[in-house]
Amino acid sequence: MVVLPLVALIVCLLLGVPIAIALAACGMFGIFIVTGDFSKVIGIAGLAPYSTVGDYALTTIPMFILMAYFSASSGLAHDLYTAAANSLSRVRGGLAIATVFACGIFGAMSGASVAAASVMSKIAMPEMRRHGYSDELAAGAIGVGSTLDILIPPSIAMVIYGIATQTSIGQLLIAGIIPGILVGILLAVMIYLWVLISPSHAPATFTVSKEERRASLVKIWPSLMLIAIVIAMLYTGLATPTEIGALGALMAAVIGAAFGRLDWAGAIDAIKQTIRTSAMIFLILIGATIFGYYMTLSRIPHEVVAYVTDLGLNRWTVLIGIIVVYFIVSMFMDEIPLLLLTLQLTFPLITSLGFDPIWFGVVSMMMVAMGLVFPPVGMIAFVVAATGKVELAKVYKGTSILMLAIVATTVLIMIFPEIVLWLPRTMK
Amino acid sequence: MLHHLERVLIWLAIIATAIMMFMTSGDALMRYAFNKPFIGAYEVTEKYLMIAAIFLGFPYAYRGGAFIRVTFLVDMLPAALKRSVNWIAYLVSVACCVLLLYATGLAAWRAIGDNTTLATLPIRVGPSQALVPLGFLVLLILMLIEARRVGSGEAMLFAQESPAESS
Repeated sequence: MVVLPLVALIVCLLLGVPIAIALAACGMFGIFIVTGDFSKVIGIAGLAPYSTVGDYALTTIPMFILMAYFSASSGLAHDLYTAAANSLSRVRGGLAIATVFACGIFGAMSGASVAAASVMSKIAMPEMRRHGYSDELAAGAIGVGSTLDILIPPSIAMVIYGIATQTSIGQLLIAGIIPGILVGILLAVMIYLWVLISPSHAPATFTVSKEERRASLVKIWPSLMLIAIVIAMLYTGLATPTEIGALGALMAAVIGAAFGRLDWAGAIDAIKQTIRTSAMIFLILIGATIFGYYMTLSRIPHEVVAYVTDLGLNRWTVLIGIIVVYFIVSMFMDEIPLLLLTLQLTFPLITSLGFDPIWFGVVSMMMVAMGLVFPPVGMIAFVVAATGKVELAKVYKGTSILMLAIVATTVLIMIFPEIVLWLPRTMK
Repeated sequence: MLHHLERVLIWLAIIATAIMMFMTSGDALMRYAFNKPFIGAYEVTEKYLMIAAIFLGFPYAYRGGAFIRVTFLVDMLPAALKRSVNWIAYLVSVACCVLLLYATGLAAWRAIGDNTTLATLPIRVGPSQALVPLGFLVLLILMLIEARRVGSGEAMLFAQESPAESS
C-alpha cells in the first residue's frame, strides 16, 4: 500500500501529466496514505511551496540562468564560435572541433545544455554546411559538445544536485571542470580521427587572414574575462555561488551593454526568459519537495538501502546498476526532473556504500549527458534536429559515435576518482 | 482584466529579479571591499524577492509552456485515446492546483495574522506568503479558461517550452 503513490507517479508520468504536478499530486496522495490524516497533507502542501522557493541558496538558480540569457542576448556565443572557427580553420574537421570548444566556453557562461544546443545549432550548423561538412559530423559535434554545459561551471544541473543532496555547490561546480575539459579534448580527438578515417565528412581546410583571426580573438576577451572571474571566485571561495551568480549576471549585462549588443528590450526579454525557466524549475522543485515528504514518512529510501545492503552485492555492481538506470531514464527526461526524481532514492544508497557524493555528482552528470544525446529519445538530439533542420537519424549517428568521448571519460573517472576530486580538495 | 493582472504580475516579477541581481551583487561587493554589507539583503532576497520572482512569474511561465512532460508514450497513442489521456492529465493538474491553492491560502491567512518580522529589518514576513496562493490562483484560472482546448491538445498545459525559442 505504501508504494502505491510511487506506482501512481510512474503511471502519471507515462500519461503525460506534467512532472511537477505528478510529483506534487502523488506526494500529497502518499502523505495521506502514510499518515491517514488529511490535515497533515494540507499542512505540508501549504508550507512546502513557500519554504522551497524562499531559500537564499536557491537564488543561485535564477542568477545563473540570468547570466546565461544575458550572455546569449549579447551574442557572446556567436563571437566564441567565430574565434574558435578562425583559429582552427587550417585543421581538417576544424569547424567541428571549434564547435566543441565554443560549446565548452559558452557552457562556462550558461549552464543549460539544451539552450546551448539550440544556440549552437543556429550558429554552427549553417557554417559547417557551407563548408561541406556532413550533417552527421556537424550535428554530432553540436549535440555532444552541448552536453559539456552540464559539467563545466556554472552548471544548473550541478546546482540542483547540490541542493537536493546537501552537497557543497561550490565544490561540485569546481569538480566538473577537469572532467569537462577531458570530454572536450577527447571529443576533439575523436572528431579528428573520424575525419582522418572518413575524409568525406569534412572537406579540405580553408584559410582565414591573420587580421581576421586576430580581430575575432580580440572580440572574445570580455567573455573570457567573465569566465575567468566566475571560476576564480568559485575556486577561491571569495564569494558564495549565489553571489557569483548575481555578479556574473550583472557583468554579462554590463559587457553586453558596453559593446552595444544588449539594449533595454533585450535585457527585459532576458529577465522574462529567466523568470520562465526559473518558474519551470521551481515548479518541479516544489513537487519534488512534497514528494520528498512522502518518501521520508514512508521510509522507502531507508528500506531500499537496507534491502540492497542485505543483498551483499559488490558496491560497484550497485553503482553500475544505478548508472544504467540513469542512462536509460535520461533518454526520456530532461536532466533536472531526472535528478530530482531519482536522487531521493539513489543518493542515500550511494553514500551508504561509501562513494563520495561529489564524485557521484559528476558521474551522474556524465550519465545524464549521454542520455541527452542517445536514441531513442535524447532531448538534445531533438533540439539539434529541429533547430539545425537535420534528419534525426543523422543526428543520432553523429552523437552515438562522438558520445564515446563521454563513455571514455566516465570509465576514466571511475578508475581514477582523483580526476574529479583533486580540484575540489585543493579549495580553501 | 486577467490580461492586465498578468502584465502587472510579470512586471513585479521582473522588478524583483532585477533588484535581486543588483542587491546580491552590491551586498557581496560592499562586504568584501568595505566590510559593510547591506543590512537585510539576505532576508529580503529570500523572503520577498525570490517569492515574488517565482510565484508572480507562474502565469507568464505557464503561457510559455512551463510544464515539462514525458511525452514519448502519449505521442504514440491514436488520436481518440490521446484526447482521453490529455483530459486525465488536465484534471489531475487542475485538482492538484486547487489543493495547493487551498493549502497555501490557509497558510498565508495564518501568516498574515502573525506579526513576526525579519530579524534584521522591521518588515513583516507574513505578507510575502500571500504571493504564493496568488501565483497558484492565476495559474488555476488560466488552466480553467483553457478547458475547451484540452481535447485537441492545444492547451498551454501541454505546450512545453521550446528550447529552440528560449535562447
